[in-house]
Amino acid sequence: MAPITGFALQGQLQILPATAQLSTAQQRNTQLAGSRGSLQCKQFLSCRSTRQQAHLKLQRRESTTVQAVAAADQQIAKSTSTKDTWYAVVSNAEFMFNDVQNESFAEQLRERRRYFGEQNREPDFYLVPNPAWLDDKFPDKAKQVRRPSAALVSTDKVWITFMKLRLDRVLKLELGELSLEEVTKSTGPLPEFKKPDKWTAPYPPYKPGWWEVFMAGQ
Amino acid sequence: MATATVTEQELGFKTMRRGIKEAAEENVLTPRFYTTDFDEMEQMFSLDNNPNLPMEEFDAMLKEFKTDYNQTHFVRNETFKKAADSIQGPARKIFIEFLERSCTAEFSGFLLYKELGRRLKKTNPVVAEIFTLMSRDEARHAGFLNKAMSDFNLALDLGFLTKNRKYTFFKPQFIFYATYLSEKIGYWRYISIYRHLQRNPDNQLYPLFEYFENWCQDENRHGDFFSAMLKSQPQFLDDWKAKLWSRFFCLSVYVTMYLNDHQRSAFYESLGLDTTQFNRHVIIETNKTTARVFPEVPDCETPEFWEHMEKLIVLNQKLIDIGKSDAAAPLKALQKAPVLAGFAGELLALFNGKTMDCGSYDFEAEAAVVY
Repeated sequence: MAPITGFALQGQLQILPATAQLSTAQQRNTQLAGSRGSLQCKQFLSCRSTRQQAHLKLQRRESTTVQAVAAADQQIAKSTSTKDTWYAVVSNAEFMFNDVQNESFAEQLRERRRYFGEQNREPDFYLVPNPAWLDDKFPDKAKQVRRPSAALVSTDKVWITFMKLRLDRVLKLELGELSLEEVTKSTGPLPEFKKPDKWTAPYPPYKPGWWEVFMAGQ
Repeated sequence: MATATVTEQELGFKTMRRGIKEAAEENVLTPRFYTTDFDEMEQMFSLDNNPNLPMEEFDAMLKEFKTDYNQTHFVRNETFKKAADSIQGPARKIFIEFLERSCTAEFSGFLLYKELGRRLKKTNPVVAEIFTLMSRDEARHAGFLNKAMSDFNLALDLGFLTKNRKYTFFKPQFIFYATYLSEKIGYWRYISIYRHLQRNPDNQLYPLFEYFENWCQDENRHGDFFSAMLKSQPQFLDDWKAKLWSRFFCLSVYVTMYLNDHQRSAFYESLGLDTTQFNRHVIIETNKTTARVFPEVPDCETPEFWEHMEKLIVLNQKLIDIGKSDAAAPLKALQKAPVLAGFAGELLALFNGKTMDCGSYDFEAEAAVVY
């Protein structure tokens, strides 16, 4: 929470003995600092020599062979174009990719990609510019989406519900059973967005094209 | 160690005991601890009383919090202490103040969410667990900041604060508006500092800021949860009273930040930021985010809006100067009266300024929405 004001009633409160609970949290922080830091935190990895890094990665691989095998299986399954149930949020591409408000969208996708990497999981989400299924499968609703359009697709229904809550100004759709190829099929690349007329931030905007790493096949 | 102790005294901070800082005096602009009507909260989210309470977004939030993206993020390294030691002179004082304010604000979230998690357990286990997981995040943040304070040899005794600080009472409705805004403005503050420093690494005086990108994703998610809370209680979003309260809370939060930060512009300047530009950006973007759920927000992009905000800074400075002067108390009160009247006038002008109707697309007629 950030500091905020209150022009409201003042009241004394008699709640919880939070001292004990906080000290548990503090202990956890301390433990983390001691035991888990170097292996998992990217910032730390980047300080180490390449050889050390390779060694660490190797250790991690060995300790998670089972997960890695599972991930490899997943990949093979995907490549043979089995069908999954997909969910999506879709909107005007400029809103999704080029609005200052949604720079946090890029941060979220990077965060999720990092997390999946830590878990040795294949990503279950992709960005799709001008998704072909929009007009093909939803000719009526498609009229409500300004073009060029863009979509976030995922097999994780619950996460798409969360992303709809976050972005709000997006259309949520259940796409049904599609292969990865079908769900990521695009009717064309995005044009170059023009720079925002007004720029209030004390830093330059995100580089156009940040979204490309989240497209299938990247 | 001995030299450090001298330094802390020279900075003018009072200590409770060695290495433990006495909390800063409270005033209308300091971060607060909150309490609310827990019975009303229980009733509002009770699944027995409200079997039709929409749970889909809460379920989605719970999964997101359980994922715990930042479980291993808050790990300190050896650069902290050294960086703290190299911050000397006036910058040291404002750094400590910044850390204390941030730590108090995060800890305030911890206390409120922890208690809500405890109280809602029986009536709505999902919402209760979300609160508990958010208090986990806040405890991490507060603990991390307090460790940073101990780099400056002045940690806070949070247990003592819990028992001795005043709590501000807000009805649940107002807790929703206030915490939503405070989480979202927290996100915009942290991310703006982070992105600025990422592009200007020479201004990276202290490693804390390197943690802000992942850190503030927690703030953003907390805000989303309050968005879901508000959407589950349409009575707080759909009438003229809701609009007035929305406007009021937006302005309170924006004015508080603007005045606070301008009182401490040296801090933001030490990071290479222009306080006014930084603040205006944070307010404009927080306002746009808020428009995704509040039924009304002030229009922060008119010249008049910023004229009133600037006048508030001048008047606030006058009040501070009068307070610091050697005049007798009754004389001070006399001197303050016209300034306070002017202050109230500016606030009123902001409240009566241009506004925008807004809110979640979920409440619009579906066919009319263009995405």
